[in-house]
Amino acid sequence: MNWFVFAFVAWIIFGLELALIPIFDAGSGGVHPSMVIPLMAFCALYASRKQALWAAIILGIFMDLVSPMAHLDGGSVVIVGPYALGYLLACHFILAIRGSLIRRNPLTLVIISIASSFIAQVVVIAIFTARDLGSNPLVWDAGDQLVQRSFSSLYTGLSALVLSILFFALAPAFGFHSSVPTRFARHI
Amino acid sequence: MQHQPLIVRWSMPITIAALFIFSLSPIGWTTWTNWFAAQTRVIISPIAHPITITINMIIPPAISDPDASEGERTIRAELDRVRTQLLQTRNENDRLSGLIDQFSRGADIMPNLDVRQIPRPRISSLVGDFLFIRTGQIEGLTQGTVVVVDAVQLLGKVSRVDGKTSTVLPITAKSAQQIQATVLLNESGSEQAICLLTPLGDGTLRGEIARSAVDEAWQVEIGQEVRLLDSQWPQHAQMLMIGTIERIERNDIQPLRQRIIVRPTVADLRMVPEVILRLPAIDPSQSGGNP
Repeated sequence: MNWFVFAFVAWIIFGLELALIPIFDAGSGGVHPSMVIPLMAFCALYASRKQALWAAIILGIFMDLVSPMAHLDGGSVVIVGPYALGYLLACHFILAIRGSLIRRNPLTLVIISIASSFIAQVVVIAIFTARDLGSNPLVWDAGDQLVQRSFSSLYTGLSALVLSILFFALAPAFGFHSSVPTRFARHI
Repeated sequence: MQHQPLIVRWSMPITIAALFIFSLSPIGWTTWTNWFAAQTRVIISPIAHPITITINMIIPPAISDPDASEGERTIRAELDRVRTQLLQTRNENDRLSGLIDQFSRGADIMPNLDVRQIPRPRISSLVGDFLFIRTGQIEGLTQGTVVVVDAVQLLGKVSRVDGKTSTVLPITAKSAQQIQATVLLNESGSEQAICLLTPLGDGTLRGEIARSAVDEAWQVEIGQEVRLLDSQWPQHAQMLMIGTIERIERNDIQPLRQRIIVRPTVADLRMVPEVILRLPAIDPSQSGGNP
């Protein structure tokens, strides 16, 4: 994998993620698609195992850094780890099943983005809920978050569908060359 | 692979272990992440801001009355400002009356602080309804600095600030704190009813008004203005506009308490292209000795 291309695409994707949140928010507070998850899923589909896991950790750490949590005193705090671990587990899931997937079909990216987003969000909820068992000064409602993040995972399928066109076109620039015979597209 | 240095072979397990520790460590131990979060926002802002500007051009933020002409909007904005000043003056009068009473009993009087307003563009949003603003401690911002839009529409408070950037939590965000507000029951604002508003997360706030607090001659109606009246907020923020009553719901559990849903005059506080930061003109620490 070409790490420079990965860094550049990740920069644009994070820009889109932050700029588009209010636009794609379904109006119910917190339900919005993720642009980062499809990138992580795309890397997990094509990159080598180690590169994919590191890419997931890096994307997750940056996601942690741009996801402040509201503090009970009205402030906010940044906790590094929940998204990074969530993305890592989601990436591991994709690596485990990618041998049986039709990689160049855009619908594959859509389905695995939804599934991996759900896995990552469950990990994030589990970590923050575990924190909540102690004296947690964060504003946190696990049930509410589960509903929001589940719908967000479904919504992520939409962004994955759009981004799959971009990602598949950029696959050679990423340095991905699949040796798996495909049904829906030819190798470039 | 077998001949890789030990640090390379163990880098992944060490990273995962560190992430676990960071995830579950107490808040006080994670303050070092602030610097990294600030740098991340600085790195992302050159791409996020142009996208935000483009989106604002394609989908302009909704305004309260789209049919009004430019002149009508200017007059309405001026009227809003004057009304806010009137209500603030009236509220200040009440406060000063109380303070004079206290003064006569030997209590200190706090100086009335002037406010300077700093307009700044919204760079982008952050996950969790936070807004990202490119200004920080360099201009005197602190946690709790009041942020408005359209001069009098309350947007929220600065929740986190570093050298050159800050994050703002809108009053409508689900994770925002409850705020005490007053409903203006008549045009002049002489009749008011207090309520405690809770953000619902869909851009509105819900509150309950005790009927006993309301004079029978005045009724809570759709369209009435709701303004801030909360001692947890700075004095200069009192009577800023929170929104108007969008609907009144029946409260079956407590029929004597009317439940109101309030929507800010700006349709979506997270999509405003520019915010105004309200800062005390005088540093309170320097003016502590003045009467």
